[in-house]
Amino acid sequence: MIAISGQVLTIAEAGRLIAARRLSPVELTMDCLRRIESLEPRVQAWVTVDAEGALHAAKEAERLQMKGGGLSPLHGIPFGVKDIICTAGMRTSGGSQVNGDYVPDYDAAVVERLKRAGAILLGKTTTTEYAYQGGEPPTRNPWLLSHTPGGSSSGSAAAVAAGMALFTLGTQTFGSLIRPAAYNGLTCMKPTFGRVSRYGVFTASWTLDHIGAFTRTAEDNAMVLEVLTGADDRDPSTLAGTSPSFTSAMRREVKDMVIGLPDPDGFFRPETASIGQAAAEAEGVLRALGVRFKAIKLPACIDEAVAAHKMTMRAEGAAYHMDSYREKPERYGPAMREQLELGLELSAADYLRAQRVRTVFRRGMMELFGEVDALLTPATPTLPLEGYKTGNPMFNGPFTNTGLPSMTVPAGMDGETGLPIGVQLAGPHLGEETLLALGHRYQEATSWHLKTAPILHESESLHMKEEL
Amino acid sequence: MTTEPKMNYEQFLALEREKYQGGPVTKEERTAYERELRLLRAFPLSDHVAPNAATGEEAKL
Repeated sequence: MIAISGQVLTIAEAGRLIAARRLSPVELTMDCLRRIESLEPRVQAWVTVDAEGALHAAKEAERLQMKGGGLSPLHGIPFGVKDIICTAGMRTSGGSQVNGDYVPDYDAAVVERLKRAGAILLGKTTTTEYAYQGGEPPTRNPWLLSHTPGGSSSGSAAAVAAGMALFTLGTQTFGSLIRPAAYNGLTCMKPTFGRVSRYGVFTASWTLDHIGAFTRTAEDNAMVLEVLTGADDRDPSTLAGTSPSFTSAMRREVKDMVIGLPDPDGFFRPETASIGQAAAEAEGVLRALGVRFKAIKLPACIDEAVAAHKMTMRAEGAAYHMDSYREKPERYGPAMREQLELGLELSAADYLRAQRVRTVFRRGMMELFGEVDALLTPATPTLPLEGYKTGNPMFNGPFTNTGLPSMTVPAGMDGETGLPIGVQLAGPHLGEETLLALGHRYQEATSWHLKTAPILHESESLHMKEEL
Repeated sequence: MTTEPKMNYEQFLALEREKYQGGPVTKEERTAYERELRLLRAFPLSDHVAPNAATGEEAKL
């Protein structure tokens, strides 16, 4: 495993080594492929691995680098994508029997952008069926193989935690980016709704779907976000105008920022003591950085907002799958069928009522950010569960529902199980830079994000690189 | 630590399928759906609140 001083390479570190021609994209890609070969039988993060295609792309990246320089800071960086994201010439299963052996003849917008930036596609990672709850894949948590990595972006999170890729893409319709990232000791941003084009991604819900990246650091996440974001005519929900330089957020100071804290015994009360403890310690670290805190009250309609969220998912999922479900209902898994049946029952009037409730809730959440710069909450109510159920996304729902940005960073480990714990930062509309600045400064002051799953060290020695 | 879960994947899948032997929607999910519907229908909404309006006076109760 390629490392510096025992630490797995981040995108930023690998990018610098590649730019300085001290690391070849081929060497880095082969390292990821070796780790996939070694650990995949136990982790089961991948649906499809295209080793030949990846090495071909890596050789081309090496050639370009030697010729005159890389295409971007992601040049030569190996990545994976969740198997609901279309990849030209590579099977895209959606985690479902419905798609069979569907092989798209086009790349999703996010894959196009990453390839244009010189990143190296390794393959497709596991997902629950069409990114819903239910239809769970067999993927294991690299920190503790008897436990879930979370979902629906199960394989994406597990692959980065197991050192198989330097980053992966996932999606969130309820909690499917933040929850698996927290469960796997990773950093992940769910951006503002509309930041990233969903063209070429199977729809779970038109008004709730977000795309994000699993990485090891806030800096890495900013680097990937810069490549992913931007207007796209093919996805009318994308925001017009240019995106900011997210990496410049690494230079922002956080002193005197104000973070809101919801009632610790209310909606965001964790079920596991160690999670509450980690969140309290994260607050302490941020206070020491000069951040101020203020108690805030969530909008009173939060229970109704959760109901509206679930109804929206059912109805929009049913609308998306309507033709296919009527034609071949037996190809769908039972949990997915259940949601589609209920979605088909929901009247248009009740669906629109749910959207009106979302309006009220969104207004209330946006007003909170008139008082504070960000919110801090635990990322999950529990640790990753033993077995295959992917866990409870409830803490992530409010920010998916409202389209406001949220991010998780590693903030501790459970003493009994050794499982990672994450905290969640949420921000105002278009407020990713604030979250990245807070995440980055927090990571400068702590080392939770540097910890790696024990499985990485079990069977191979580290291939050490000299310090920069 | 490399322990295996208590139940293997095939057993898990079989248990999941068993939940739906009575039909495509379980009793638990039907109950949740109806509770959520009642919650939404009972929530007072001003005439000025439109679906998915992000800002503005129309979003206020």
